Formats: sequence, structure tokens, C-alpha cells
Amino acid sequence: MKVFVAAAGKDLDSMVADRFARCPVIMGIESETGEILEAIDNPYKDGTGGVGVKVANHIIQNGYKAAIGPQTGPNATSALEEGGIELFTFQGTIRDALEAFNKRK
Amino acid sequence: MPWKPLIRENKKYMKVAVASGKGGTGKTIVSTSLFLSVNDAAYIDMDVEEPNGAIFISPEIEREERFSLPVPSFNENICTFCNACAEACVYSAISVIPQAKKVLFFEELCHSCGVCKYVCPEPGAIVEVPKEIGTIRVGNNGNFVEGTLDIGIPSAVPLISGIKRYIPDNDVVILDSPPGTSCPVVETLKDSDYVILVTEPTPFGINDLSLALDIVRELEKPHGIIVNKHNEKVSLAREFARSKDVEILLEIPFSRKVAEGYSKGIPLVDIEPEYRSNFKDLIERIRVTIS
Repeated sequence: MKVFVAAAGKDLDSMVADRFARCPVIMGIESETGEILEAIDNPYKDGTGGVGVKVANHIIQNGYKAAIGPQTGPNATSALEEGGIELFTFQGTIRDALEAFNKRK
Repeated sequence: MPWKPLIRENKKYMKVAVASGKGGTGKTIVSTSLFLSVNDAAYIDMDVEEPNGAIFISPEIEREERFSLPVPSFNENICTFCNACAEACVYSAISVIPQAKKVLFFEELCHSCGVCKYVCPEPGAIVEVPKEIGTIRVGNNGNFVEGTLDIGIPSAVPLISGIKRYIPDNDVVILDSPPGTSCPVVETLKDSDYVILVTEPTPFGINDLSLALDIVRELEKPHGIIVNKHNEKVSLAREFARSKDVEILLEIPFSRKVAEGYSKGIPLVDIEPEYRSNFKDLIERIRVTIS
């Protein structure tokens, strides 16, 4: 499954970011293989407003099915829920997050 | 039916904005005093989040209009979910969700710029609908104008900008500015010919006066200071004015009588009528400064 991660760094040993839309790195992972599909510096990180919607739009438009990160803000939450994106809240490394995500019920 | 604004043709008139930085220094006491002292003046309350000039002027309101802004409305039966509008929206007010055949609109992020409708390739998919944000009231034969922003509306700027269409062509137009130094203040000051900065001689008053002065200088507006609640023993405002090379136009000494009257809605110039000539002189000095 194509999973979005709000990441603090660009590899699997990086932490899941502590802020969702303003995370340092926008990361995409294939959850079964752990393959990194994208890992880019978050261009919206320092935006003045509407950052949650921007990142939610990125997730929806790029065909992600789930998002791993900290708690999402109200605007991002409503967009992601409407888009049928599964939200998976996790604190720790991305590798651990992925393992927990794959084991989820 | 929309009110037809008066057209100002070749008429010499001046717009004097009254601002402060810090709230509660006496913008309204000065604005209403100017209005009540000067011949052929108009009073415009631009402090739409807390308009209070009407308490002192007791205007007869002649017209009251709701003010609205255009916001997009999306027809999901016509929309092809191409995402052009969401990509164009710099305020991220739109989320297009093809999976759900839905468009989410975040109204509080929208700035009514119209770009979504402009870029939309499908006629009829986006139509603009009015969103009411406040009320504008006009009274005293058009010499009194105030705006009141609806509760919960995030920005006062569009309403302040909207009020300007109702400004009459009186000889002297007094613009009672909101407090602070942010967008609503800039919106008020930018079309003025002169800015009176009202301060109180306290460290808080002077600190915010300094910030307001920076804005006024950035906007390149002629300006001067009125010191309210002046105290001869503590001359913080005088020191500040000297150090920044700004003229003190008037000092209004602290007076319990004025404060008590003001708290009952009595204008300064009715409590102490001798101030009327001070304010008249002041306007004539400003007229000379800007001409």
C-alpha cells in the first residue's frame, strides 16, 4: 500500500515528525517492501496558512491510501477523511512505524 | 439596492486618520472631538471589530446595509475534479477529492480573489456566491459611517476597504482607525492624507506609539502626535517625540471630570467646550502641513 509519512528525515531510521503538515520531509513509502517512493523537503513547511490543506491535497492527489504521522490538524483531517485516507498516528522511527502499521488490525 | 457612493470631483478635502498602536489611548475621544468641533466634517468608524464612535455622536442612522464578499460555490455534478482550482489557490482554501467526487472548500482560508473561477475549465462548475461578513451603517446625512464585522469573521480588512466606498465628500473626513499595527490599520491609513497618532504617556503607550510611527513612516504619511491623559510631571511622550523628531500637536491633560463624562458617553468637547477651538486650530494646521 502506498503510504504517506510526515517525516523528520529522509531515510527509514529517521523519526516520524512531531508536526504533521509542517513536517521537515514529505515521504512516500510502499508499506509491504519498505521502498521509499519519494522523500522531499516539505515545501509547505514554513507557509503562513492553509498548510494542512496543502499537504492533504498532496496526499490525495498522489494516490496515497494511508498517512503516518502525529495528530493532524482540523482542515487536513477533514480533507483526508473525505479522501478515504487512513490515518495512523505514531511516535518513533519510521521503520518502527511501518512495522506497527503493517501489523495493525 | 446598493447605495450609490458620492462622487468626489475636483473637490479639495482631506482625510485625517486617527491611529494609536496601543488600544484605549483615546483614538475615539480625539476622532469624535474633531468631528464635533470642525465645520463640514464626516466621521468614519473604521474600527469594525469594536466600533464605538456612535456612542458619542449619537447619529441618526439612515441606511444600513449588509456587506458581503464573493466566495466560490462548487457544482460537483459539473466538476471534473481536475484540481486546477486547488492548484491555483495560494491560500489553500480548496481540496479536490476525485476518489469521493467531492470538493472541500475551507471558507475561512478564502480571500475572495476569484482565481478558482478564473482557472476552472468547466463553465458552471464554480459560481461565486455572496458571503456576508458585516454591516455598514450610514447616518447624519451621510456624515457618519461605521462598519461592524460579524462575529467569527477572520479578517476585518475587506469590510474596512468596503467602508471607503461610503466616505462622503465633506471638507474634513476623520477616519477612526482600529488599534494595533496590523493589516486593518494599514488598510485604514493607506488612503489618508494625514495621520494623528494618539498616545498616552505610559511605557506601554510609547512602545506601541513607536511601532505605529514605523508604519506611518513606511507609508510616508505626514503625521503628528496627540498626547492624551497628559501628565506634566512625567513627560515620556515629549522625550519620545523629541528623540524621533515628531511634532506634538496637542496635549490633553488627565482629568477625572473628562474620564467620568466619557464613561457616560459624553464627548470631550461637551465636557470641556474650550477644546473645540484647539481641535479647529489643529485641523487648520494639518491643512497647511499637507497642502
